[in-house]
Amino acid sequence: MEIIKEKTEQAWKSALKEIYEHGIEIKDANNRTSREALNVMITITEPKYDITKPIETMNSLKKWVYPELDELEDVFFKKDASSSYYYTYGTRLFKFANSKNQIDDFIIPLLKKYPSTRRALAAVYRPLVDSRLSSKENPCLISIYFKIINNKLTVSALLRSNDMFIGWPANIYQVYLLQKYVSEKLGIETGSITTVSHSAHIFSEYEEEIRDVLSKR
Amino acid sequence: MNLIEQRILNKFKKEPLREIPTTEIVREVYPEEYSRIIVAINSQFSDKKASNQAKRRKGQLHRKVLYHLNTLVNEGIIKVGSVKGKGEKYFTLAIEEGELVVEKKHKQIVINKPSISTSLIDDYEARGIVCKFDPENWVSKLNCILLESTNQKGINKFYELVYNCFSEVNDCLGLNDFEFMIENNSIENTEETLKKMNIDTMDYERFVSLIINVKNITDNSKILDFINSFVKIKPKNIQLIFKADSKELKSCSELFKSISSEFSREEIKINIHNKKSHEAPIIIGKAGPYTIREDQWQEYKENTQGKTIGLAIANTSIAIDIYKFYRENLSNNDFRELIMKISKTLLKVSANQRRRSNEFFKRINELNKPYIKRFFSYNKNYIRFWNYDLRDKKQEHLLELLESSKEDVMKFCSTERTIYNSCGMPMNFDIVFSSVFNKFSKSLSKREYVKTTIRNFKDYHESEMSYYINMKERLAHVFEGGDRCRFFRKGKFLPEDIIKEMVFLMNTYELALITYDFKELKGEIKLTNFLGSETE
Repeated sequence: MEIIKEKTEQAWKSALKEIYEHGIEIKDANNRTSREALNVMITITEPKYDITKPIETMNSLKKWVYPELDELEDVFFKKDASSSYYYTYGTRLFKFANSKNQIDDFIIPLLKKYPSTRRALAAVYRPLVDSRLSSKENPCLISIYFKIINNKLTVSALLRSNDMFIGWPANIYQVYLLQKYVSEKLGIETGSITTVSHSAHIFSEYEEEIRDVLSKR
Repeated sequence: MNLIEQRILNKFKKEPLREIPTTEIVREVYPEEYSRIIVAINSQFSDKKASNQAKRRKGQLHRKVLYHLNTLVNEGIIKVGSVKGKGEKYFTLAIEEGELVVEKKHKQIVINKPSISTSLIDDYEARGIVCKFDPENWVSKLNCILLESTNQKGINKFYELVYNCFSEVNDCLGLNDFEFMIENNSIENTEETLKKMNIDTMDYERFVSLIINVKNITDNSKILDFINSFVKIKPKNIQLIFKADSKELKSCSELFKSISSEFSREEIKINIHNKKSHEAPIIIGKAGPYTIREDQWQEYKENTQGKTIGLAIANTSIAIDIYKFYRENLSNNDFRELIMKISKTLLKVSANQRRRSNEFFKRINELNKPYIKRFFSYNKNYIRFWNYDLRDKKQEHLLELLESSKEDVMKFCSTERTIYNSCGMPMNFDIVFSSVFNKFSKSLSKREYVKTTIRNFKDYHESEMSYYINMKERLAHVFEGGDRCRFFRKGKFLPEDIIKEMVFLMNTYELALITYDFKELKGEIKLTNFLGSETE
């Protein structure tokens, strides 16, 4: 499934509609029913104009408390591990395996030196830690790939499991923040963002809210 | 700017939301000298002269720092938040939130105090319906920690840990398997520790539960010696909790006869934790009881026990004054709405705590390395209920309301965990219900509760008593955060009567914590007027 839209909200709603209408119904290990589509690719060509819109929509539902934008940003950019989160993307990106700052010490200098490089990949998944049968909390975001095209920084994020209704709005926002951070350091503009979700799903318990979101113009 | 003032302000800069005791500030200002003083005071190798000298120096340092603290108070930079124990002052930043710029003689220190949004419940708080436990340290401290006695090498080392944890919690500590400490140390040493703990719990206004796992007792005489010391010292803020099933209780009947006899004579409460009903430890605090869920306790035992100093049990407590709620003629729908507002507030507050956890729990994190996350895995937020009367016409559906509200809250917590997980911030967020003890806050409504008095065995079969116990059994399913069933024992009785009654209660009812209180009763009213709340 491939979706290409100019704006974030359009892309999100299209993906939700597709999975809602054509996804396969499955029951997961926790006995939760969901509709699922495999390898869903979403590209947003101009994310900067409405990147927070899906989060605003989630907040407007008032049924739950969605993380604040500054919490999403804070955690994503925090290098040090926190005792309160089982893992954070920030630690994995900026202090991978407790040592490597993949963004500041690799991606940015690499892109500065070789703007046409195909090596600008930051990994989030750690097989030594995550690929264990006893592991309960595995990161959904696997890697982020950076590429300069037409002097704009494009970013592609690979996600193994993606709750398209609840998780994707935060995921895309965080990826955008990273895109902005790197592009500012490089002195270039931000380009498109693509997410590839191996398992893109929506849970049946949120179907009412999903219908509500889809019905809004 | 004076160097001492700089160090004081840097302490507040690091921990802008905390109420900090003078002792801790002195320790921050003079880290090396202060630790030398403490070693000299506590060391068994110090002679009396050296020890007295160290105490004098400690006093000098306190006075010196207090002088500068008072200067900062007069300048409106900090304020005295509270005075606890034997008069120790606790200081906090004078601003509610925002940026504070302190500039003196070319030296500038900028302190940021973030806001903690509780706007959803502000109105209820103003009306006295909702009440936070220890609002000054609401976010920066844990309510309750369980410490494992068996992890420690000796009682002195263990007490050092207990003492350090007094400043990490704002309510209580549970010392699990304390029989291990009693049996593996000399009675003189254990008694000395108990004396120190008694003084420190009063100074810090903290509570300690010594949990004795009856099954593990191998040396009755040592336990009895300890019981005698306990009766002699009669600590104000320390309780003994005997964890057993009825068989274990019967097999130690001689020991329990002595305990019943000594405790009843000295009017000390006997707490029996019936592990057949609930195996996870129960801790008695100032706010109320604390515990964790059975499945989580099993998981902890299998994966974590022995790797950390213990377990964080609770981080925040909010009480709802049911009497005040219904006095305002609010409806059941309002009740459910209030519960959801509190739940959302707890989530927002915990978000704040999560983001600053490395700052708030720095010492705890150090002690639990490399298993920091496991220590915090089962931490709960508490919604506690005060002054309810299930026989009041307005509250006749309260139990059902609590049951359905509990379901709502569980669903809310599960959804939030899913949201945070999906957003790449997997965390533990949980809310449980429990009862309140009257020391929770002075602003709680006055209660006309009945003390459930037992004069002989027949009293347990009285219809009113059965009603009370059955109601407590039903509440136990709602109060997953812990509850206590208390009986007042009056009249003439033999120690074996107490054991017989305890065994009966343990075998007949699903009550996790049974407390026998031998205190003289005043102003008792009949059970027909019963207001089911707890009292300490």
